[in-house]
Amino acid sequence: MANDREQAPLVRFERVNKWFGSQHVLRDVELAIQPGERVVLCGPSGSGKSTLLRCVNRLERFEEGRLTVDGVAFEPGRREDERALQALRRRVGMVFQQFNLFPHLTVLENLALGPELAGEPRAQVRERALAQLARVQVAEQANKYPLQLSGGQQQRVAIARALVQAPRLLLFDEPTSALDPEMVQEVLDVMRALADQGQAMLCVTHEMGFARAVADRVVFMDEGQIVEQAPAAQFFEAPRKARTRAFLQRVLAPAGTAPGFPHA
Amino acid sequence: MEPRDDFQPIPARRPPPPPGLAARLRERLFGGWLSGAATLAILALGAWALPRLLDWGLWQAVWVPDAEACQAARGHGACWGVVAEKHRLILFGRYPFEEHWRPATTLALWGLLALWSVLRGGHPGGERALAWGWLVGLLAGVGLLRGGFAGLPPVSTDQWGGLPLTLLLALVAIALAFPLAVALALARRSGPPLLRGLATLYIELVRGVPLVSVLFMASFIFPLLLPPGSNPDVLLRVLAGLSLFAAAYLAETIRAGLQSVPLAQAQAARSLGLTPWQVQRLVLLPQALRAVMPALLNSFISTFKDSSLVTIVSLYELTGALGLALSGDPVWRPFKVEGYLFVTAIYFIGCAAMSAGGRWAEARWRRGS
Amino acid sequence: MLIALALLLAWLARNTLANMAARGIQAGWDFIGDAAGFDIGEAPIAFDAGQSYGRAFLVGVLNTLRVALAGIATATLLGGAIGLARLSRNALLSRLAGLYVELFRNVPLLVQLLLWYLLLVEYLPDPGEPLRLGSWLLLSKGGLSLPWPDEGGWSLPQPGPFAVEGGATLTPEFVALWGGLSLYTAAFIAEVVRGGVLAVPRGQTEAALSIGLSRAQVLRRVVLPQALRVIVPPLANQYLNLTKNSSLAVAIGYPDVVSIANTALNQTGRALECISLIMAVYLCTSLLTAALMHALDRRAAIRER
Repeated sequence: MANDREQAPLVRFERVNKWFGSQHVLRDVELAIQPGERVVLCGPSGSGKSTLLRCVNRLERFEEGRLTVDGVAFEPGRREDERALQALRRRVGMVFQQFNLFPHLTVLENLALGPELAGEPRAQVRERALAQLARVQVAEQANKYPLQLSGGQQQRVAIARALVQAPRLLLFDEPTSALDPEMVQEVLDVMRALADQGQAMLCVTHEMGFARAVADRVVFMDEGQIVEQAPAAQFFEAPRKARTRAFLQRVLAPAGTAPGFPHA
Repeated sequence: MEPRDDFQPIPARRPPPPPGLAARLRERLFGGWLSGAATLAILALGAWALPRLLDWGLWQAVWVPDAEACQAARGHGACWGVVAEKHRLILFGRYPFEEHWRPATTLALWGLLALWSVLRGGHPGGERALAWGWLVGLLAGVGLLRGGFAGLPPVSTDQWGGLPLTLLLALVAIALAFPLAVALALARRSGPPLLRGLATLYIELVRGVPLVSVLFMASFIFPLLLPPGSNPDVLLRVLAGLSLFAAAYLAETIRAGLQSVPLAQAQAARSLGLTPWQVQRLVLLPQALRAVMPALLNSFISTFKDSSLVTIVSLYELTGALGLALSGDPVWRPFKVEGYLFVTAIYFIGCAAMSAGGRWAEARWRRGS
Repeated sequence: MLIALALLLAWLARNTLANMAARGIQAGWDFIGDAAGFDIGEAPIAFDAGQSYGRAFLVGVLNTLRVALAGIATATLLGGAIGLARLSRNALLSRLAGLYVELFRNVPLLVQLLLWYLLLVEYLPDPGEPLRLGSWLLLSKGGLSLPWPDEGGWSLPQPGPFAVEGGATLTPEFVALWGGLSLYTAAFIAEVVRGGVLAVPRGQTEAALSIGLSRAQVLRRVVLPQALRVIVPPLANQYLNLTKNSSLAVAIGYPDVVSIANTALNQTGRALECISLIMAVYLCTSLLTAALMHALDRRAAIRER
């Protein structure tokens, strides 16, 4: 349908460059993410993928270029509208590697904090929170404190917290890297279910099996720049650049199956 | 078909120049409406207060020791002449006037030692030289103040005063407190139960009471504890009190240092066949002490400030010397405020310099190791 | 080693008894009931020279508590504000706060107290012509006069022929001690607060921002509650320090427990008893504060598995 193609992208990076001190960590990044699209960002450590992700909800600022997220434009030198940024962050949820749940609040309160402070009525917020907790299958932990839960449960609560404000885009920053191996799958399953339900997401991860099964598009970064991006099947079966091939060889198991890929 | 590899890596570039001063100032000072309001309020306050302060402190101040001029300027100009007139009394207390070169030399000696400590203190392994240097410097200073040899007329300790006395009190108190503190820390951590209990009791008791009470105790009760007839110097009594007080606080810091040494160190040492006592002495203690060097300096600075309290038991160090210099002099007494500001400045410069020196040395040590 | 310690104590005890006999010093607490023979400048309960030493000590303890509690309250408010100002993104504010902390921490408290007292005594107007601050506060050499509840209504301070009449007056000694203690301790409390806030992991702030909270909301709802856990123990320590530092009252003539014990000591010669009384009072305060903070700590602790 012609309309879909003309729809403005949800996220657009235009020649974005970022430095940490004198280190050039993002180089001429050009990336567009469409509404509803599920994108996986991969690459060796230090490639800048987390930094790129964090630019989307403005946890990181950049020095050159232009970034547009859901209609809000960011440019260096431009004065920032705090209220617009806050409103944007409510439309873009984020899940962190270290979960970052608020330890002094119960699970339910963790979810309710954002919407309540945005002015929503309490009862409604509570209802939505419980619904999201059910969605990630931790509803029965609603009144516990985060540190009373396992790592996998905590991360699922973190996902629910990101979902409770009905975000148009979910950002995942290596969500399973800090989990014990036996809990990785339960979180990946939740993420897969969300993807199946049409949730747009930008995901930084090393879980190639998940990428292969879930992503619409895979973006490979190295040394601060995007090397290659392609639909998932094409990316894994026929990578075009040598660097991509080298990376995939290092990351995928020798037998050709990806770790985390559900065996049929 | 061969995949075409036309990947062009983008070379790293230098970052763009940071935004100009104006933009940066705007961000930092007027980032939000609250921030902007605060900035304006502070600037307004500064605009009101600063000219008045400068006026009083500098433009209309009297710099010469002329009491009449000072009186005339009262209320709108500071009388720094009081400092010009009385600075030797304030700095050296009741020390005989002609012999002032001796405490002055002592101050210079200790100042140089401090500078040397900061410069050498950055080097690990230099602690021994440092300790010996200070010991010798301390004894030399005390000897110079005391006199009674090589043609120097003797000056009794109750005439010592001012800044040299402040430094002497702090240095000797820390020097005496240190071994006691190490003993207490070891006792509390790994001594037999009775000794541990006593050490804990001592530390908690001393830390729970104000220094004033310890000085009172030193002043009134110590003479009772010694054999009848012996009359200990006020200085010695006060030093004992200060040392005992400082030792309790220092002991806790050293104990924290001992606990911070990883257990693996002790285990490794034991596995090499060292006895527990040797392990303490050769492996744990040096590491613990190295770790608490910054805290040791802080302890010294605290004692330096606490030494001002000995005024209350009639020992005329810097603060007391000020009172002595001005309270009894009706001509200059109205300008006590300026005198206090002078003393405040000395303490501030001394403490700030020591802290800064310590931080600098620590940073250098970290970079080197 | 213990035997050596025991021998040392025995020798000290023998000396003490010998000295006391030689100087005719009496021991014992019987003097507590005797008439004190001195007046106390300000007392929360009625006191005159004819009352007992015991009552005098009580007045001293009450005076210490008065100034300590007032000081703790103002120091906490001021210190909290300065600590947060230190963390502000406004460069002017954080630099100024930093300057305050450096200035007040590097000068001995005694010098600060003497200076404030001197300023109050020198530059305040005579009691006959007080300075009016607002509509209900009068400031003079006699002190700070404020309205005080009196028989159902309020007694307002008014300038009289020789002194301020009506209301309640805080003496310059109290004001100097209270102000000096607050300003000094606030500098330390500011550092404690700053340390506590910096101890909260950055991820917490990031997560809070990512759900759309403003910076103020992040501070109030996420960072400060967690910072409090880290702040409470050193804060309690600062409260204790403030209480112990109130003993410097003896240098400016405020009749706290140390001042009064000092006077009693000089009059009766019962050094051991008076000094141990001072120490006992402060030790009790320390123990009480430690217990209180322990209880508060347990309540603030984050529940873990």
